[in-house]
Amino acid sequence: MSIFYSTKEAFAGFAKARVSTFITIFSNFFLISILAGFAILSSNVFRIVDVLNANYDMQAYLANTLGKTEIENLKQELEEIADVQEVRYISKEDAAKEFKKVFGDDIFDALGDNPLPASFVILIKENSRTKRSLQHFAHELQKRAEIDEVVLHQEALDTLVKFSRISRFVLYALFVIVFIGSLFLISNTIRLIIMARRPLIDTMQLVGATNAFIRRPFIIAGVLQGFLGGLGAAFLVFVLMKVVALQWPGLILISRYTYFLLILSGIFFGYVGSMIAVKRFL
Amino acid sequence: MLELHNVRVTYPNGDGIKKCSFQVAPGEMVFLVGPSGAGKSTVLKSIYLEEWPSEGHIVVSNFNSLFISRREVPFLRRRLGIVFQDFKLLNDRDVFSNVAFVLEVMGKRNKEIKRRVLRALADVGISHKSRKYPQELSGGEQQRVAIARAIVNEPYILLADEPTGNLDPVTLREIMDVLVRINLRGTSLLMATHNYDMAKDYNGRIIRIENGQVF
Repeated sequence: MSIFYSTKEAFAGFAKARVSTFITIFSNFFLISILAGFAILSSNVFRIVDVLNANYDMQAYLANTLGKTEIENLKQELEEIADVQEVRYISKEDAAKEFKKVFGDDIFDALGDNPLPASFVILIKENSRTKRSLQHFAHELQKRAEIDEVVLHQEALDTLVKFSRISRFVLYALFVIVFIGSLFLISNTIRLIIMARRPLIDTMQLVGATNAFIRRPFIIAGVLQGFLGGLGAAFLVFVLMKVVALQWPGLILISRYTYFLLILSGIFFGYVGSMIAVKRFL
Repeated sequence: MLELHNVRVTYPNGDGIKKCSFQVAPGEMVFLVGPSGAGKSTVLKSIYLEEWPSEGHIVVSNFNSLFISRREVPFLRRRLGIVFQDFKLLNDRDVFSNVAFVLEVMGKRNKEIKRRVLRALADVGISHKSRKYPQELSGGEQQRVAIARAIVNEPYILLADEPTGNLDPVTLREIMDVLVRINLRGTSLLMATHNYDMAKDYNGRIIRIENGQVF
């Protein structure tokens, strides 16, 4: 009964400050959407870094002259090295298939031949996977006659890790900015509603309404504004994810909890913003 | 019982009330009579603790201003009915809702709210206008609504601050008749007024107040 009454009064408060309420809901939607976009981007950078870290330390391209037995022996020799976790052989045919997958063209059709070398993808044990040890290991491999070239993926990884660190920092900074912006907007709207409803509040106080009772409609109004902003952002992300998934399947993955998190952050912003307003102005 | 013991309330400009002591017994009708600025409203405000006494104390039922916390003030006010000269009605809701509001604040159930509001509106003779808005009513009718709002919670005492100040003589009599009827049913009435002639026409005790002191 009392919650029903407070909710009814919260909606009546919206009616008293329509423009401000609309601007706040829209701004919250906008701010939370930016936050969501950046969070999704950041979490996907972490995912790519994780995948690369786990599967791809270096690739050693083999000389074209090597026979099957020599390749087998070299693989076995590499696998026996203490720091090596796994050695995966990629034949010339596998390389051609990968080429076709990436570029869409058959290399035989283009060149009439397959110039792609066979290679080993070498995964180093996690404990030894430091930049220095990887460089040392690559240098040692490079000295061997059976190996033409060693490509270390550490540099690309370094860039991604650096980017992921920066993006994580930007994400935190953005969260703080969005949080403060959202609090400011919501508390300001609640302040306007409080001012518009001052006669009601005065009368409530005279007839014996408790502070909690007087504050409740304003808290509900703030939470509703935050909720609607978060809901809008969740809907936008949902639609954008569908579009991205149609165009580039598997490019960006998000947890289904993301939508709940967006709505929850809206509610959280709304609650804190309205609490600030009622504590200051009531 | 309402009791004021040596109550002092001082405003920043030095005005207020001092050494104010009197009692209102259950079911009693008391007029607090004095000119404008004498401190009548301040006395009433100190009773519902909008102004806190800096000296002395006030007892209303089982509440004592010396021991009550700010959190308990709403519960004290639920024991009082307050009527103002300017009515203080809410223009965005109709007569019924203006009165029902008091009970909604207290978390009463819908069924009980409806029953008690209709009873209060009948008591002040305004049942037929329960769906009108305050701005559609005359001054006398608005004051009846304000009185209905004050009595809907069956208060321990009714405090009326110049309730007839804005009304013509005929409407004044009508409103006074309503207040007397409520008083005769057992509700104490403390009414602040500058109109001594009107007060002496009724069978109530008169307390004079001048320059913040009661006599």
